[in-house]
Amino acid sequence: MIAGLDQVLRDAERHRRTMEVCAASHGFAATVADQFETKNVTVTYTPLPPASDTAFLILRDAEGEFLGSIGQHALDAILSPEIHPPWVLAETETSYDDVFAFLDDTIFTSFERSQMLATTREIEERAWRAADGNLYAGFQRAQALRSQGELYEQLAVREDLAVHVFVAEEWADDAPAVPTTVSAAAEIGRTWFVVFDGGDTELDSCALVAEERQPDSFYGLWTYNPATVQSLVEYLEAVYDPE
Amino acid sequence: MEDPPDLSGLSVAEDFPLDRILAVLSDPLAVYTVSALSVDERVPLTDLADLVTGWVYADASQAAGPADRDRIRLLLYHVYLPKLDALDIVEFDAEAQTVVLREQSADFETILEWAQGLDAT
Repeated sequence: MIAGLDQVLRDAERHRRTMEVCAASHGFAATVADQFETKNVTVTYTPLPPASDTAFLILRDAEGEFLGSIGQHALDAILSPEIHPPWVLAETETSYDDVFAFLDDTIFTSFERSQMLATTREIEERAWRAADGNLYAGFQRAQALRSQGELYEQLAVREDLAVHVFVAEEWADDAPAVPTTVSAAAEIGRTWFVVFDGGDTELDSCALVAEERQPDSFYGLWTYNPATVQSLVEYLEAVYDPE
Repeated sequence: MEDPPDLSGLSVAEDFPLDRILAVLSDPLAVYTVSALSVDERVPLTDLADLVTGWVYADASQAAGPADRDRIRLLLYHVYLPKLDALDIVEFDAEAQTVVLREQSADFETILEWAQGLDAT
């Protein structure tokens, strides 16, 4: 069993990746480096002809093998997101699944709250669509809990979906009217996590785990890997025995 | 939309088949291929395919994957690089699977810049 929620971050930190940013000017490369450069992820810049007016990113693994590429506008879905409730996302035709899958298991180093919320919504939208299974969520602090409360009360009555919220003792009064586990554990106060077990469909499972390392600056990852998600579910169930 | 370049000074010469060059550079994939290469560096086909794939999918709402890149690599190998080699725009070593840009005239650069700008509009 994993030793803590942050173990998924420690494991992902060992993935060596390169991101080759191709653009006519440096701006996009600087943004990507800001968000994703770590000691194991190198961001490089390849200049394109000035007349080309395009920008994209090539992702390669430790052996230099092509993993994928994505254009700047598509990546903006993550870097500059619009926030909608999960039932609105479920109704729209645009699917960002592909974009999130592109950076699956890749550490982000300085997401803002708006980016965290957009990623959280992606997971909640999957849970909403599945309408069964288990959704586990911990939001660290009062402000996030208060703004999410009504949403989670809606999710908690969504057909066969079971919702489990985790909150540190000092924020217990702000918890929504859904099954809530109050804990003094340091990681509950420190970690923003949202985990969906996929219900009947393992491949629908997904998770977000992040730590606020500076004020409004989050370090973490999202994953679509069923084994990683399962390890988080098993850990939460075993250690916290949630409501 | 940008006006086409002033071609009145260019002539159709044996060593500069203007009509065929214009025809090949009307294809964005050919423009990306030429734009991704330089005269200073011979590159492996796989590296070129990575870059051209990124360019082809740059405006898509979704990411491109290894299967998309493999398809473009085949197109480069079978169609685009032989065509560009026949026009003396690149030198393509099919056996070693490497390619390098040949030195080009100012006239060619003019047409290439115009073609790059077309794609941007």
